Amino acid sequence: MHFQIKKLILWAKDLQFKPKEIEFKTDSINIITGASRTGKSAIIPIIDYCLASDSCYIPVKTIRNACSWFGIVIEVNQRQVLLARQEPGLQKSTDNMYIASDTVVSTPSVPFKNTSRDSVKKFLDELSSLTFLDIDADNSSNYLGRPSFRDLMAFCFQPQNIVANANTLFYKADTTDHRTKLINIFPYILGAVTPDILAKRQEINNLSKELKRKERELIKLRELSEKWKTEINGWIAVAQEFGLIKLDASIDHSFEEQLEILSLISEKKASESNILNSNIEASSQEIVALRKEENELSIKLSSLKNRYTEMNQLMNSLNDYRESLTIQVERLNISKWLKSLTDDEESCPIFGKTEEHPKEQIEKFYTNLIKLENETGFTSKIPASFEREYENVKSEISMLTEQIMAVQKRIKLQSQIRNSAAHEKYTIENISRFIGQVQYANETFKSISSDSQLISEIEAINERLSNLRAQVNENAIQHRINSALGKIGAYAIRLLPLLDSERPNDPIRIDYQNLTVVVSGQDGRDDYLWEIGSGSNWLSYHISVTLAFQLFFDQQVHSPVPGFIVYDQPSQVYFPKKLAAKEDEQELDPKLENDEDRIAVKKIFKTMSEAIKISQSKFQIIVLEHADSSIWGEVPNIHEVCEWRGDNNKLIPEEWINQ
Amino acid sequence: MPNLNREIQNVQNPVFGAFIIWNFVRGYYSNNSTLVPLPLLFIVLPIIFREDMSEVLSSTNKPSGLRYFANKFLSTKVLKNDLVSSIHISASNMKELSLQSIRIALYSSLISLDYEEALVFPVTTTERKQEHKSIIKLGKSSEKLGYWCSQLTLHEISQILKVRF
Repeated sequence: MHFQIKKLILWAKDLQFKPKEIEFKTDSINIITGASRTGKSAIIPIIDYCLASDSCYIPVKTIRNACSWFGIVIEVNQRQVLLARQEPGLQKSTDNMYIASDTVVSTPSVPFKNTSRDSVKKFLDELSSLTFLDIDADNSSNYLGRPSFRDLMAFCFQPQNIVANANTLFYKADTTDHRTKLINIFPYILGAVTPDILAKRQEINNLSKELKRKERELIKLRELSEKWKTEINGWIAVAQEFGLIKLDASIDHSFEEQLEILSLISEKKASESNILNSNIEASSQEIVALRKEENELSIKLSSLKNRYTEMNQLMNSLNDYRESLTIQVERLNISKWLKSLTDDEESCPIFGKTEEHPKEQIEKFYTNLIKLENETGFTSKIPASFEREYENVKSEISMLTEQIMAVQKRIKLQSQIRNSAAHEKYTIENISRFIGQVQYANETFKSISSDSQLISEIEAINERLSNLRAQVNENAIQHRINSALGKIGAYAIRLLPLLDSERPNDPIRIDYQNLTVVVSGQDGRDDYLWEIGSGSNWLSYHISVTLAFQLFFDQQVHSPVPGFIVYDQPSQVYFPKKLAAKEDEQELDPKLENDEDRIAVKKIFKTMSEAIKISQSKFQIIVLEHADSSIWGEVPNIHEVCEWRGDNNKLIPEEWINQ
Repeated sequence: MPNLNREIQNVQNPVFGAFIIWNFVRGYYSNNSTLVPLPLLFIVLPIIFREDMSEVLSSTNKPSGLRYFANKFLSTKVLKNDLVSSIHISASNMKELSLQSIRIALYSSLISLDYEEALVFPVTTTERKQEHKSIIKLGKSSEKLGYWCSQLTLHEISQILKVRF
């Protein structure tokens, strides 16, 4: 995804100072070079904090004491978004955030809270068109939840403690939570599991639940027919109306109790009936209540069906852009439409033909209207993620349909029983006939052992399930994962020989289940990264693999992963160690002493430059470095952002502190 | 189904639309007397005339703002993100009704148009309270929506509500 850092902004606590802005160049390598303790390493935590990280890792003291707000401007899909977050003070972090977006966003003199961290997270999720569906629909565990923008940060940062680490390859992957989640969403990030597959998995999950329910129902119904169950209320109501039994309407009887009542009725004699005014009234009230229920259900159902139709419409347009979860829309183009309403150039689209609006004025109106429309900027695609909603509405509709059918069955039955021989309804003869019917029904239903309708429903679900399961082919997914990992490995092996590593030509494989790389030796042994020695080797694998990932994402039709990566001091392994020196004797700006080291560090930048070249300048690298332009000066695609050396030349200007 | 059509006409009629649009303009204007860009009026009715959107709108506090409102549809509790995506389509379907409503609001001097700049402002800002409760409720919602929109640029509104002007 074209998601790159345009600016980093700091606002001073002291309002007399203007905000400090550090500008980055997109699609190239940006270098901030400088001495120790100038604030270079704070860049990653600041960017991370503004991208809604859960806690604030910006170093305390100087930086946090001097700044009131931290901000970044990101460039994404031809527009800019300013995200700023307040300095947390004594708290661990704060949710106060500021957001503004425009084609070119302007820096406010002081930001104010106009959004929260949670909203920003949602905004970022949507911006990167991430799916809302869980990776594993069957599991409510957080580890298997939906991929979020925050998870993608693993590919964007290589801080000092990671960049040459043998044990972890990715940012924040050192905690179990992040690690497990990252492993789980890997197939999605690699494009092997698409939103479409996730939607199907969700449907499988819903259908399996329904299937289980129906099967349970069937087992129960094998003993007592389903029809019996819906009819039983009707029989009892009529018996009540005939005065054969007397029930307290306020008590809800269980199905088993109702059965008992019914067998009591079948033993009654017609002469025992006791027709009462109140009973007849109660029974007609029941019909009214049933009709009302039916009405309410049908209103609900029709509004859901409308929504479903609209969703289908959206879904259809979404299908063309499935990978990116966007749909294409025509502009509303009010100005053009208004113009088309008037037959000539001289009448006003709103007031019609009036003397008050001369031609020039109408022209001016259109010019300004078009100007207003253009203010919104133009993109033809809009993000649309609602597979979750789609599945939900589908299952709600089927649930309501079942409910409404049950109610209608009851209404039909009650009116049938009532309307038979209406003129002689309350005669003894009719009541005897009724009792006879109850006896007959009792016996008939007992002999029915299953419900054919339910069986066919179960069959239909089973068929749909096997159909879906065939589409969500786990083998094919595994195949796609492997092919994606193969591509990444190929990129990495292309970059690796450019770096200073001991085994430049040994093929490597990404092991995403362990979040590491495996190097296959010529002796046939597979070595994990942590089994290989030397900091320079670790560094080489980190650089080549992380760049390979960016190159792979860049090749995708749509990848949610932002197109930038920040390295903090990749050259650290080549700088001389001053272990014995006391703190105040340590050099603030170490120098590369040996020529071999200088060459090795130069290789790092050349590799980055090569990666940018391969991608045809489609992503951004930010490097925070001690090494100065004498090392990387001649390498192409490099842009020096600033050099923090000398007096009062660092992230935080001295006057911000010395107050 | 002529009956259903008539019923829709009864609820979604241009006179009522004029009332809703006037309230939107009032709300927008109430924030530092800013004028409303004309194209923005075409998204008011698609939101207010949609029962489930209207419900969320009236249950969102005024200080929360448009972003918060739009984000609510994303939450698992509401689960109606498709509604936001369909505003654009409804706006397109309802533009005739919107225009008629704007005309009526103009003729009846509820709002006025800075013709050359294509900006709209209210002629009268006093809230009407003698209408039926449900009508007042929708008017209030529209006013709130107007207020929210006044805090954002046209660009931001189009991003949040996914409408392409």
